Amino acid sequence: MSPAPSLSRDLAPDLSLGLAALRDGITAGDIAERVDFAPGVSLIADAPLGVGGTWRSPAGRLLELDISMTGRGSWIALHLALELPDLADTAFIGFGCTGVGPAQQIIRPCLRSGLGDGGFVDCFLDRHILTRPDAVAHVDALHVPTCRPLPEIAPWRELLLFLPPEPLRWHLHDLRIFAA
Amino acid sequence: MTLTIAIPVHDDEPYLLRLLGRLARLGCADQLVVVDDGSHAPLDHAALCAAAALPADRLTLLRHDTAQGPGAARNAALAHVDGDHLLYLDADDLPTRELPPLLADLAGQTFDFCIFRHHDTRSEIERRWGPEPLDGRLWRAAGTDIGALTPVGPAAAAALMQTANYPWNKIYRTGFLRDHGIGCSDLAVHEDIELHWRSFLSADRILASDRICLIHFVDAEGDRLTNRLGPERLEVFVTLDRVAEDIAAREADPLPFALFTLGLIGWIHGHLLPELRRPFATRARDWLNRRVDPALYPAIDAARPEIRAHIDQLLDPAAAG
Repeated sequence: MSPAPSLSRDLAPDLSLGLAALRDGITAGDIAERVDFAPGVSLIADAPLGVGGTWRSPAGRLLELDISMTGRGSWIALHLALELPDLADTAFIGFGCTGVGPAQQIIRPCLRSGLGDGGFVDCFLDRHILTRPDAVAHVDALHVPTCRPLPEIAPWRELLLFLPPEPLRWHLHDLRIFAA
Repeated sequence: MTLTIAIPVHDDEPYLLRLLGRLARLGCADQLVVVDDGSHAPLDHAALCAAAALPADRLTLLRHDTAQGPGAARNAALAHVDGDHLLYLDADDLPTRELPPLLADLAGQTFDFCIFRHHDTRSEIERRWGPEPLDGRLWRAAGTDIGALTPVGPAAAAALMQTANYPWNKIYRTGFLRDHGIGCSDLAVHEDIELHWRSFLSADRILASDRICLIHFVDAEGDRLTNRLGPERLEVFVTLDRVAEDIAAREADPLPFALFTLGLIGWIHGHLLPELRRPFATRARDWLNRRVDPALYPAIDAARPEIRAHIDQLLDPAAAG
């Protein structure tokens, strides 16, 4: 008897450990240009934004972000490292998340793949996350065979959540990444 | 932090067993105190321990031979609480998976009580997950609708104390209730108004959590106490008087209680048996004349523009049913 087909697989041990650590523990700190919340889970911001503020990871949840800014800049993103070098057998890469924010703001998810020359290529998912006061699930996926810029083999990959380059209060209750 | 969960029960064993099974799965109760409030078939200690997956010494079963009401049952339970913290539940409640992480967040914190959000099954008509709309607005007004654990300052408390007076959405420090002599009234319904209000009035440190830790089931067709719409509802003014006197003695801001009471009077009047509306309106008018300073009405109108016209219409002697 053959084993039951797997519907998803563990994409990245580091990422899973990092998210699990955030879910299981209670930690807090200050927001800076780079914050490593847990292995494979970081916030990186464009320096001119002059980011500040605080973050907290409550029990059973991922991150409560309260980000202030003193300047103008171009980008700020939550980086989630993936160990997913070869996509030959993968049809979909996606994620589900839930969170809340007091105001409606847009977060743009993107799969970033490293290139051999040291650069990278970004594939944005079709749907943006709209923060809102009530927790609503957001699920989206990339169809790998028809996502032309997506290299089948890459030395590294990340799921990026591009945050708006403006003050933000966003509580990311949970996030899970899947591939099938 | 050790948590005792206290549950009053009257002829409600199937729901109680469902609740105990849920608590066993969540693994968050260090002690259970069940008060069998005059059930026709007395509850069995061993069966409850099995359902809760707890050793016998961690489940205390008390019994009132005649039903005295959930308030008296909760007060009886308090005397037997071993945990340093206490959560009252009703037998038909169901805690969610958010309760254990809330307890983890609370461990090591100093607080008199922590109020958390709940899901009211009436919200499901509109496919919403969370409390009824008015409570939702009050949580937003308090600024506590977002955040796993938020300290509640005086302004936020003034909003949260106007939410429905549920006993099962607060984790209490046991010593806080005992030191302040805070308990429920011996009424069949509205027995929890004093618990709710005196907690807010007496607490030095309140926390709030946006976690939805409990599902509250409302079945308008059932025969539960919540659905009693008879003369027992007229007794509400006894407990409202006690709270009003407490607020006056403390020289606390009377506006939140006035807003709460006006909303409650409107709710009772709207649900009461038709033949009781006239005597209820008479008592309500008397109570409002005695207890609500007319100087408060501009502030009431500003906070809840709809409420006074509604109450005036309900209590108009010419319109009384």
